[in-house]
Amino acid sequence: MNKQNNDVLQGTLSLLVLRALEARGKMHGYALTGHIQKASADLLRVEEGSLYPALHRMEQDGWVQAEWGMTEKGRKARFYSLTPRGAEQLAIERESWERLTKGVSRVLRYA
Amino acid sequence: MAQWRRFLNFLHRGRVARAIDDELQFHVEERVDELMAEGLSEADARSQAARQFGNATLYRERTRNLNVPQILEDLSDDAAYALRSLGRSPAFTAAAVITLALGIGATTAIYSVVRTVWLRPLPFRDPGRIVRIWETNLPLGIHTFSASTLNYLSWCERSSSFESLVAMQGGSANLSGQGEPVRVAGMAVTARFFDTLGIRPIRGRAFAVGEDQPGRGQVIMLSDRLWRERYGGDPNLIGRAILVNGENRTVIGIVPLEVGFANDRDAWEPLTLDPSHEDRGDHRIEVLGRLKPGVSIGHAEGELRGLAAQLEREFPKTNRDWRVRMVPVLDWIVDGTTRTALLVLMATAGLLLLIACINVANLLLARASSRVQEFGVRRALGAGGPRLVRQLIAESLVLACAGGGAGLAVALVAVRGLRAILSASVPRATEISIDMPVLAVAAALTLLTGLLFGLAPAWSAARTDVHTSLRQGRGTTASSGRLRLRQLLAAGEFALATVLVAGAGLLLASFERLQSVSLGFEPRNVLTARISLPEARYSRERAQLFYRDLEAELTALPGAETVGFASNVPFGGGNTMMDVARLDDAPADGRQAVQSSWRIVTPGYFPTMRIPLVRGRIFRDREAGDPVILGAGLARRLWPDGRDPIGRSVRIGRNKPRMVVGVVADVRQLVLTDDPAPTLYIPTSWTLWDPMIVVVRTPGDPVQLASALRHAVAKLDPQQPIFDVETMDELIEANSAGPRLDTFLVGAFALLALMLGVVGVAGVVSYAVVQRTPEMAVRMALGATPGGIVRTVMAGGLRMCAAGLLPGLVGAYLLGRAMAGILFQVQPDDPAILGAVAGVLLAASLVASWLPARRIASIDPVIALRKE
Repeated sequence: MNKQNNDVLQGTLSLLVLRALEARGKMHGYALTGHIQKASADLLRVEEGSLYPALHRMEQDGWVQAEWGMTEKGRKARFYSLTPRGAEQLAIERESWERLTKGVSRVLRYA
Repeated sequence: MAQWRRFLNFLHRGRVARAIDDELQFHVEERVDELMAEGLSEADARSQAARQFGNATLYRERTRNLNVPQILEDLSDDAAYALRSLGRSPAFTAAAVITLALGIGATTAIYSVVRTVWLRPLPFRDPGRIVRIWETNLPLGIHTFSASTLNYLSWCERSSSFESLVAMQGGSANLSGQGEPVRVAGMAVTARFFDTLGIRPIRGRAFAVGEDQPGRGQVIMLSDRLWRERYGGDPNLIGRAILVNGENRTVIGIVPLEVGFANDRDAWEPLTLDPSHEDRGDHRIEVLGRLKPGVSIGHAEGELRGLAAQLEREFPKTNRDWRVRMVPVLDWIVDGTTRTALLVLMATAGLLLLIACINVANLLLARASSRVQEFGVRRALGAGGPRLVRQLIAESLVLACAGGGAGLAVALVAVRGLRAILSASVPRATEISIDMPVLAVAAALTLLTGLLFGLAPAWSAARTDVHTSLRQGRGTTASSGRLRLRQLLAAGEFALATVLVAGAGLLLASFERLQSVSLGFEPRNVLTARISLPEARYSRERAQLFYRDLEAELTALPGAETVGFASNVPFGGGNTMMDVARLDDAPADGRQAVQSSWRIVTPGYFPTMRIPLVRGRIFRDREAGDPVILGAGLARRLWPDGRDPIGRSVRIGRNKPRMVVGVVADVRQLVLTDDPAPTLYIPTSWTLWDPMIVVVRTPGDPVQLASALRHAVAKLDPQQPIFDVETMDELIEANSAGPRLDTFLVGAFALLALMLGVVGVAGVVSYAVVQRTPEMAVRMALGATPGGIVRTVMAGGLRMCAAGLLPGLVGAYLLGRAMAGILFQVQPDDPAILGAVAGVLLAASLVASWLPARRIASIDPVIALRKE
C-alpha cells in the first residue's frame, strides 16, 4: 500500500523535476523544492528529503546531470541540469500524464 | 545502466557518502537560513527545517544505496566483522589457516604437475593424429621394441594410412672446433621429422627433404640449451660450420627446449637409412607417424599388421612373428605408469584437502559451541537466521582465502622442488609452473573449501534457538546434535586418513621390495665412468692397448680392488640386442634364435660387479678362440632340456659360431621391476664399443676414487676426457627415482592426514570431556574410580575411530587397486600391510582418545560440582 503511494509520487516527482529544470535551467535541490512549490501556487508539497533519492536515481538513469558549484551566498551546492535524454523522458512523461489526467477527468465527468 | 560505476563507487564509498551528506546538509542549512530570515529563532528554525525535510536517515540511506550497491556494503561489513572475530582467536585462526594451506598447497602443486605434464597439449601441430609405432614379437615376449630399418622403409612404401612416417635413433656426438671439446647426447632423425610433428625450429630451418640421403648429411641442428650454453646464443651460428665427430657440419637451426620427448638431446642430425647396408633383423630405429585426416588409429594399426604378415611371408628368416603396435603419441610420452602415479598423487592430495576441510569444519563447530551465547544475543537483538548464516559463511570464506593465499605460497615452494626432482625423469617437467589456469583452480578450490567447511557450522548456527541458547551456559546437553555432527566429521576424517595411510603403506612396501630386489650383482662400492676414444686417434688395436694399460694403472691404485670394462653396465641406460641361436641341433619347438642383450666385457668385469659364476669359467686375459659367456636365463632358453652348454656353440646374428665357456648368474639390466633379460657376454679381445664404461670396485667410498681415475686416464692420454662419473648405487637410485618420489609424497600426505585425524578426534573427545565433567563429577562423588571414568571417555573416542577405520579400509583397498600399476610385488589387499595400517590407526586412535581423556581423571568432584 505504502509502496504504491511512493511509486505514484515518485513518477510525478520526476515529471515535476524534469519540467522545472527545462523551464529554469541549472538548479540545486533546495531551489527545486522552492520552484515546484511556487509554480504550483503551494498546491504541491513534497517531503523535501524524498527529492534526493529521486534526483540521484534520475542521475543514474542519465536524465539529469549534476555538478558541484557555488551558490550566490558562497555555499557549495550540487547543481542539476537536464540532459538530452532527460528532455526525451520529459516529453514521454508529459504525454502520459496528460493522457492520464484526460482519461481520469473523462471518467469523473461520465456519470 | 551505469551499474559498473556503482560498483566502482564502492571503492571510494566513503567519499560518495560524504558528498551525499554535504548535499543534504546544504538543503537543511538553506532552509534554516530562510526560516530565520522569516524571524524564527535558530533552534526553532532547525527543528522546523528537520520536520520539513522528513526522515533524513532514511533518505540518506536510500540515496547512498542508489550510488553504492548494498550487497557490496554488506559483504565488506561481513568481511570486516569476520576479520575482527577471527583476530580475537589467533590460535584457532592459525591452526585453521595452516591446515588449509597444506591442503590447498599440496593439491595446487600436484595439479600444476598434472596439467603441465599430461593435460597441456603437446607442442605439435594437431598432436591427436600423431602416433608412436613399435614392433612386437609376442612369442619372444617382446611387447615394445624398436623397428627394423628395412621394415620401416617397407611401411613407407606400402602403407596408405599416413601423411608421413618418420624415424629417429639416439646417439651421441663429439663437438670440437670452437671451445673445449664436449660430448653431447644426439638424435638422428629422418628429413621430414620436424615437419611431420610440426615442431618449428626457434631459429633457422629444419632438415630439408633429401638431406637424409647418403652423402648429403653435412648439416646439424642444435638444442636451444646447447646453443645458449656453448655458443652464447649467437644468432650468427646459423649457417656456420662446426666440427662434429671431427667432420665439418653446417648448423642450420635451433630446436626448442621442450619437444615433449628427447629433451636431453643436444645435437640433432639427419638419419641416413641406406637399404644396401641394412639387415632386416636389426631393430634399431624408433618410428612416429602422422595419420591422414579421417584415418583412425585402429585402421592404421590394422593396415600395418597386415603389412607385417606380408613381410613375414616374404622374409621368413628375419620377420617371423614380428608384428606392430601403435599408440597415440601422448600415451607414449605420458605412459601408463606416469599416469597412474599422477592420478594417485592427485587423488591423495585431494583426500588430504578434504581431510583439512573436515578438520577446519570441526574446529569451527567447536568454536561455534563456545559462541552459542554470542549468537543468542545477536538473534535476540534482531539478527535473522539467514543473516547469521551469511555472517558465518563470510567468516569461512575469509578463513579459506587466508588458507588459499598461504597455500599458494606452499605450492610455489613445492612446485620449485618438484620441478627440480622431476625434470630428470618426467617429460615436460621443466615447464611445471603455477600459471593462470592453475591459479584459477587454486582460487576455485579455495572458495569451494570455504563453502564446504563453512556449511556445517552455518547450518548448525541457523538452528540456534534464542531462548535455550541464552538460558544455557557453554556446552550443555542441548548441543548434543552438534556433538553428533562433530563425531560424524571426526569419524569421516579418520576414514580418509586410513585411506591415505594405507596408500602410503602399500607404496612403502612396494618401494622396500624394489630396493631389496635381487640384482644379480653387488652395486655397493663400485664407481663407473665412460670413456670415448676418438676413432681418428685410436685404431681398435690402439684402443685395446689403451684399455689394457688403464686397467693396469687403476689396479695399481691403493683404493682399487678390481677393475673391469664393459660396453654397458646395468641401469646405465640403453640396450644392445641380437639374435642368439644354438648350433648343436634344433630344439624341440623348432625355434632356434633368442633375442638377447649382449655386453662386451673384460675378464675383470665379473669380479668387479660380483656377478657369480654358475658354470665353466670367465674369460681369460687376451683370450683367443672366440669364447662367449651366457647369462643363466639365456642358457635355459637355448637349452630348455637342461643340457650343459659349456663347450657347445652359438651363433650371434650372422657371425661365425662362438663357443660357450661359462654361464653366469642373471643380472637385472634395464628396469628394476623387470625380470632379468637373456644376456650374452662377448670378450673385448673380439671387439670394442664406443663409449666403454670402466667399473672399479673399492673397499671404501667409490666417489673418493673419481679424481684418481681422472689422473690415471690423463697420465695415459692428457687429451682424453672421461664423463658420466657415477657410482653404481647412483645409477640404480636414478632408476627408482619415480617410486621414491611417489612414496615420499604420499607418505608425507598420509602423515599429515594422520595428524589431522588425531587432532580431529582428540578435539571432539576433549569437547565431550568438558560437556560431561559435571556428570563425571557426580559419578566420582558416587564412587566411580578415575580409571573407570577415563576408560568411559576413551571408549567414546575409540568408537569414533572404529567407525572411521572400517569404511577407511574399504577405501584403502579401492585406492590400492587403482595404484596396482605402480606397485611392485605388492597386492592391494595384502593382509599384512592392511593389518599394519589398521595397527597404526588404532595406536593413533588410542593417543587421540587418551590425551584428552586423562584430564578428566584429575577432576576434583567438589570443585567441578560447585561450578554448576
